[in-house]
Amino acid sequence: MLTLSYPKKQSIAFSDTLLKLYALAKETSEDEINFNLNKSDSLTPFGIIMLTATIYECHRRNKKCSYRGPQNQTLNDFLTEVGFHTHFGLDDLKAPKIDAIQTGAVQLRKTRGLDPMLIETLIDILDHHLKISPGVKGFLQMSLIETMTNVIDHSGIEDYFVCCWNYPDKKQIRLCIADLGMGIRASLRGSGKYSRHSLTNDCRAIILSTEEGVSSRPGRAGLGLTHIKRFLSVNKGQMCIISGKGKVFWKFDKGKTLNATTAGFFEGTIVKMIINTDKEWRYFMSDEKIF
Amino acid sequence: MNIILQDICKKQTITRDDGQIVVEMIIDAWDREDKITIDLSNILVASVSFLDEAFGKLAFNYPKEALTEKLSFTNIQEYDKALLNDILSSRYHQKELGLNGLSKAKRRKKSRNSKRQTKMAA
Repeated sequence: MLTLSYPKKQSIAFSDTLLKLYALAKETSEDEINFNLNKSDSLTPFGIIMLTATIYECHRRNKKCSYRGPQNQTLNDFLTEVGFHTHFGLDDLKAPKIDAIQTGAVQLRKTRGLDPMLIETLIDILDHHLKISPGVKGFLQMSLIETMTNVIDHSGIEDYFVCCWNYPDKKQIRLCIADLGMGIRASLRGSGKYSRHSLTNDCRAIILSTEEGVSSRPGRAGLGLTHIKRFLSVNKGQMCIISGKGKVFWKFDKGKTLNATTAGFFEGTIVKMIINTDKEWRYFMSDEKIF
Repeated sequence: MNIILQDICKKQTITRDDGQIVVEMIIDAWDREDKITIDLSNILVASVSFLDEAFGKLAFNYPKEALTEKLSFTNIQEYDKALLNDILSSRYHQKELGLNGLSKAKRRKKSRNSKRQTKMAA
């Protein structure tokens, strides 16, 4: 049995550790894998998605998974509330029903294909907590539809994971979406629209995928991530995409973009966002009526 | 001049390529016509790509006053109107920042080319 000991904090800052554990779980010849969260005391939606993706990979390889929960009771309660325990098959720790819009949260879920209800819920959450204008609402809805379609198209498979959580004390909504498909670089390369020169590494492919007009789909504009990026830059939020061995982190709050090669290879794509809920005044788009 | 979207685009009001057809018509008629009316026939476009390409990018070529004086929209759904206003506002904002709709990579390329041209001219 292979035991994967998870760190105290499971967030984007520890993505390398989490990716190493993901790679270990995928490559091991052991039949059983124990997910040990004993020492953990906090998980963000990114951490939850990484952990879920690792478990999913093990299931795909017909490996038996066991689980040792955290000692920290607050984290235990959170994992139940966010739906992780239900997802893991621990039926006695069933996730409670929550009002997504009021709480600003979407419990962990694996979804298939374009899910308009999910997108509507996410938009309603943003509308409720950020008080966005009808135009921005429509604009974000279309962008999320494009992003989800991109996730499906890029991955080559239709399953993906979503988790969104509200942190009222931090005045942030954190959203994470991940698929376990072929990754951005392979997908753009497969489209035949981009030269080898423009796709030299995973970071370059990630950046390219967020540029206007770039898509792996023939004849489509590929604006989802471009517009979400623009929205987050106005919001002074953050966006991070991990795909293959590339990680690109846009810290709009600090005016920085960081590119890095990750410690482990992630086959699919993870998109993580931090949206500030106290920045209503920043929406220059909200009041102006040109027509 | 009246541009009836349904006649021009049929049901193709989604992609940038679809929007390109409309913007070309507008630019072509700009100097000839006093007024250009775009009739959306109450179809819900709801595509950022299309609206941005067809109208949003006009912000880079024409000032706001000229645009509102020349263009008008009829039979436009409220949702599309709000989206159009947001797109135009953000494009004008982009113009104010001097970004002119080019990505960082394209701006770098453009600046490299203009430097090269200056050098050659010298």
